[in-house]
Amino acid sequence: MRIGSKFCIFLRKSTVPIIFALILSLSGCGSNGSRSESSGSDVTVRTPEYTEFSELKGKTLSMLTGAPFEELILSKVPEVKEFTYYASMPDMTLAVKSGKTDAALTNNALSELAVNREESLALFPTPLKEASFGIAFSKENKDLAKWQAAYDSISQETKDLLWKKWTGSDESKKVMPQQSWEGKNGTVKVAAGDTLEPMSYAGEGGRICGFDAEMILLMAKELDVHVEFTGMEFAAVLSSVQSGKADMACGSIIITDERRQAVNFVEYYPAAFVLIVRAADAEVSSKDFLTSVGESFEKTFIREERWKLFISGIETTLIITVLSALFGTILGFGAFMACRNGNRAANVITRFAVWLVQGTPMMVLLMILYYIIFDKVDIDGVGVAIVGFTLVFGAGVYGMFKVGVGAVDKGQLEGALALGYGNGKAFLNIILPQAIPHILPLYQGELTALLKSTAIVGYIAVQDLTRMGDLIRARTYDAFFPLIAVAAIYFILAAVLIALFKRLTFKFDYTKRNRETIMKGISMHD
Amino acid sequence: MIEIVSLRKEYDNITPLTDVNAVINDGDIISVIGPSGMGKSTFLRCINMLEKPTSGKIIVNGQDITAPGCNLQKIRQKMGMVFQSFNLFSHMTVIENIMAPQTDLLRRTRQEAYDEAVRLLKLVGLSEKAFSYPDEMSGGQKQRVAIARCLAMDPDTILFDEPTSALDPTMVGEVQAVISELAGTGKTMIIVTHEMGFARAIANRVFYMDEGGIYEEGTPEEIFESPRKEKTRQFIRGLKVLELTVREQRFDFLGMQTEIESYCRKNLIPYRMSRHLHLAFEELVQQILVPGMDRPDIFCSIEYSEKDEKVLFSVSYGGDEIDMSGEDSSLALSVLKSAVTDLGHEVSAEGARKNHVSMTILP
Repeated sequence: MRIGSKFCIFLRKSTVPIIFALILSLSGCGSNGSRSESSGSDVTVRTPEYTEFSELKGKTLSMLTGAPFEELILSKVPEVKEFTYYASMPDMTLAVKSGKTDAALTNNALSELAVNREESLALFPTPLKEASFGIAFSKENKDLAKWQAAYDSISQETKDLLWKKWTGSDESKKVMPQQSWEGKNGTVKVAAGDTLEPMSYAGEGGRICGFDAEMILLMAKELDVHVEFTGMEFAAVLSSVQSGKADMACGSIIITDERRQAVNFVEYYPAAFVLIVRAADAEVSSKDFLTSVGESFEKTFIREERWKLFISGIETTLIITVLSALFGTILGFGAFMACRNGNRAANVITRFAVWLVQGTPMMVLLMILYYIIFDKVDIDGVGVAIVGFTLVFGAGVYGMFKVGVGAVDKGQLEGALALGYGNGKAFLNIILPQAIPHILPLYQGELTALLKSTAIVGYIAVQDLTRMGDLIRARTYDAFFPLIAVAAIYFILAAVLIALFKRLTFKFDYTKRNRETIMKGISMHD
Repeated sequence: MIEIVSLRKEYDNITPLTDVNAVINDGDIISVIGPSGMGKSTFLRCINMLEKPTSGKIIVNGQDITAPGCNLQKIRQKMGMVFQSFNLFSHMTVIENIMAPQTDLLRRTRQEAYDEAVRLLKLVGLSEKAFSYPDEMSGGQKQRVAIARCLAMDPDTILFDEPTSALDPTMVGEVQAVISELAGTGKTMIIVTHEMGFARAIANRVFYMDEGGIYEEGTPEEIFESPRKEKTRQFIRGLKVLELTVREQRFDFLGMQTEIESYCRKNLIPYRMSRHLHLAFEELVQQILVPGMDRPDIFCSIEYSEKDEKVLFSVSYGGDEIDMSGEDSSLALSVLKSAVTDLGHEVSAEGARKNHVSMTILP
């Protein structure tokens, strides 16, 4: 099962096959009309399906990937049927509702919001463990004490009000304050989880909001610094602080001993591990299909002007794809030219680089670049993504040129040399034009593959098209439109890219010429 | 003038040229002939440095082109080459093939290049093919375009590397006609070819290449009518040779008979002739010569000429002359005479084997 769920995550992170998206949507669309985002009440009391740990014996229990608390559960419930793992809260709550799992372990913030929103869910009465939320700082950061003092100076009333505001179901109240103070003491960079509603998530316009985020702003006001949030996947949040990409990190982080070894924490609001279960009197929604599709569309595109998120995602994806293709082509062609005449050093270096780049999974390569190689360099995720994809595309282009030029008969070069062409001119005028028709179809395929493979840049805190789909999914708890829209947009982008590419390269293909172009500027009647 | 001095070319596992020396004068038309694999093409490709010689010098108009830093491009522009496989640029039409080197290398305008190309196409008789791609033409047409392209650079020298070997027999003529026409223009031409009639007709000098160098050279008459050296003669006549040496009284007679047998079969020597050859070997060597020698030293050479369908059998031996018409050999001699004709006998003044017997095997 663990492998199965990993595979699902992989599928969702990479290209989105339509069929898979459809299956997801069928399981999600019909049943999520029951939720009301603005029911108004602050506290919801519902009777849970299970009230004693003993009742959970032999059931399926779930948790978020990357937050493994099997032992904690086993200490209370000695025997479970199996553990399953989900990548996001929406997926997990959906699983509870639909009966795929019986209880889901999360922290109090996430669960309170979920229960406040979902009538069919309830909180299991007993928490498994009490702890504390934290804001992470790197071990080297000397400002920790100042921030802790700033937090402690905020009154408990204010803190509780904030908690209610963000875990409640009244969306209209959830607005982030402006950073209206002067900011004399500079700016801090905060790596923030972007799918962890209500603690830290991408709200309207993709801006980070939530309990954690607003709390940081309150502290920042005390210290008179400005805050710059960067949204990213939870898995990337702590690494960003460790590698120095960010000064501090938030995102529903619960302090544990293991985490303390890696980073320091400002301790603040009390946290608890709790279970979400189905409500005892849960009913299945009776809304018809068309209404729920309509609602789903509205949530995905219209509300909070979320279509703007798609646009900004498309921009990022295109920037990464086009620049990587451009630089990669230059790199690959340059490497090929350096190696062409059998220069020993160039060949050894190129072969090694190609071997290294092609032997590493793209995602791992990106993370190595982001967290290790460009660790202390001031370069954002988009820059790192361009570097990574340039390397990979360059390796591909190098291979294409080898194949394409290798396919040209050796006699062509000899013929040119014997006429008195220099080596370089013979290559550019005679060999290359014949190689290009071999190269173009390969190149086109590689370009499409590049576009699609950029979908993994979410791992290094880049908000590309796929990631935008994830963000919206995290807010709407709905899979259908975000996934279908993302898939469709990729299709269109690929088609447009190929069409442009064909226009651009048309004149390089000698087989497509006619007599007029060949004889341009020559009078033939003399 | 092209001088070739001690040219040597080695590959990893074979050395086709060990020591080549030649002087090629302006206006010479040279046919290079010889058996396959004897370095004719390698020799030609060394002259324009498509193959880098292992050692030796190639001096073109006083300039050593094997020296590092020599401007090979300039040399090659004045020294065209026509390949066995044509090597027309397949991404260009015929007219572009002829125009490209002019515009790329001679800085002629496109119009000038075009006019010259049209003139040359007319010369090789392919005006109507100007806009065809090489793939759309026959081998003979491609080779004529290749010659036109080569001429567009206005070279002093043209190297032809087996220009008709890749052609259908029906197309050999058209290409040879174009080359023959060029022969009257005063350009130096070096032609590697297997077409003996063509080689003889077009050249003023012939190089026969063998044993890693120019084995014999001379005028076409000298080489084709009266070659001085053995291998040249064998090559020109199309001779197939078998050589046998007898050094013992009790030599392996049956083994040698078997060798002769397979030699006859391999070269399709008619049955009766091969019977006569066996008989001649048996009577002369086994019956007449060996019994009269204490320590035999006999060298036999059998030459079969495909052209004349003739087998020549000649025997040389050391020691004293043996009287073939002695009493002991009279029976053997009469059998021998029934199988051969032109039986001749002579003694040379020098060499280890002074006595020579030669004959023609009867058909």
